[in-house]
Amino acid sequence: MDEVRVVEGSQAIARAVKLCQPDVISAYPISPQTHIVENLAQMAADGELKSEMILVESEFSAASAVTGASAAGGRAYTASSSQGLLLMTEVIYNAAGMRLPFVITGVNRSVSAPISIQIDQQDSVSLRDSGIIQFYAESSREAYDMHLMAFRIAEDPEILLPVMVCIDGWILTHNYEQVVFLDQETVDRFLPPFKPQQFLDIARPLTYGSHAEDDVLMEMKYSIHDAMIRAKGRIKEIIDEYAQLTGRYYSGLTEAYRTEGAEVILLGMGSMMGTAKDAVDEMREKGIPVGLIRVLCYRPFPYEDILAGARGAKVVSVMDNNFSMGSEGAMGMDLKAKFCNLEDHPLVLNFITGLAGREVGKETIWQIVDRSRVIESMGRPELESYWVDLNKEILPSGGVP
Amino acid sequence: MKVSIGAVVEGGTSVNYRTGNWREGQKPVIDLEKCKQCGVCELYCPDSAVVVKNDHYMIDLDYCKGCGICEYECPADAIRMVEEEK
Repeated sequence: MDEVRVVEGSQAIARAVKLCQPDVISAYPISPQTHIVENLAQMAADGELKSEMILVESEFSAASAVTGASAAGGRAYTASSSQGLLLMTEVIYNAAGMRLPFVITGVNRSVSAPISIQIDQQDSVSLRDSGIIQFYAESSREAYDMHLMAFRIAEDPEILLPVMVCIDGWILTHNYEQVVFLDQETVDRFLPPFKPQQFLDIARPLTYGSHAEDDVLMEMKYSIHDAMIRAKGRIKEIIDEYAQLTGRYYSGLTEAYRTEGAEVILLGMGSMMGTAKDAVDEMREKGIPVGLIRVLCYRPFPYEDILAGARGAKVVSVMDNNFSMGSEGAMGMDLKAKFCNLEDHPLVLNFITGLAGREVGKETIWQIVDRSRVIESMGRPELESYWVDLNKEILPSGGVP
Repeated sequence: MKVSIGAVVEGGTSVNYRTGNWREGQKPVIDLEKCKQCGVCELYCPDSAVVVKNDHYMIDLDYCKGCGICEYECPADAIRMVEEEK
């Protein structure tokens, strides 16, 4: 029987992870990730969860412990935020290269300096090139479902890559929301025990992470990319299977919202897209032709789905909750790169929003849409990216363009 | 040749690589008269190239990269880096 509860986002995720019954959980505390692992540790202490909890002294070790557990054939899980995710980075490149399918919750938080514990997506976006599959949740209940699907996707024999489910710190982890919990039997039908084809075994030794040079390294890197591209189709099939079993339907790697006849399409990911939907509703009521595409899966990048949804629009305004210093927002770059060789495509604008938790309210969305329409009517943008609500007066340089 | 998923290969492949041939110029030599058998060289060697053979410490030149840490750390001054001809 499904169980309906109002719980903190962190607890919803912990309960999803519990249903997946990892053999090993290893993590190091960092805000705002802490409550997830705290909940799991409590379940293990109470005997409800059989996972081996490995206490470590850093996120580097936590990522290494789950990498080792995964190489030994176990199902493994960890969670982190901000500097912790960055400290895991070296290990994650290795895990992706060795095709080890563990799951990480990436609780989004700003990256130092200056230090802040508030939310933006700079931390997980910094891992975009590593070979880890990345999902971004809009709500706690979506985060719950995504975790159940994440293990299945990671362990799929055609994929075999680590998967990170990203959720906005505080806004989702510490928010209370109604979640409908699945029972163990349903989850077991969806997620069979992990049966790797190769794993470390004392009786049958193997070498993981062996030396490679120019004769094979390019092929190995290409094969990670190839698995990512193939994963697009498999992920959609797994989402459909989850829908048939649970009645919970997700539209795929992206979600199109009121895109019919839209001249301006907002593109983004995470919890701010919920607010953006409300703003889109308001604008539609006033006759402004605006729609929205939300990216659920950022890597592999679902540009075909974005193209399909944005085909008739005049402008796609990408809201990046991150920034690549010296260039522009990551998804802005992604989309421009995919659009530039097409004959006919919408103008792409890049807006940097909400760093370190700066409020992205409905008025912010209105401002972005208004500005997008003005820029579009003038022909082309003066800037590669627009920093929304940037207070130029306090800049040490006295103001940049 | 096909590469496996994740480039996982059979175990024990490092045995095939005699990384001692990376050594250039100098090799360590233990003076057994001075050696107190304390084992500090074995603990500090980053390549596990100090081994016990015939009841005393010796250098496994198949894996010694010639870094000289053993000479620096030896409290009995029993290890010297000496020039070697390739």
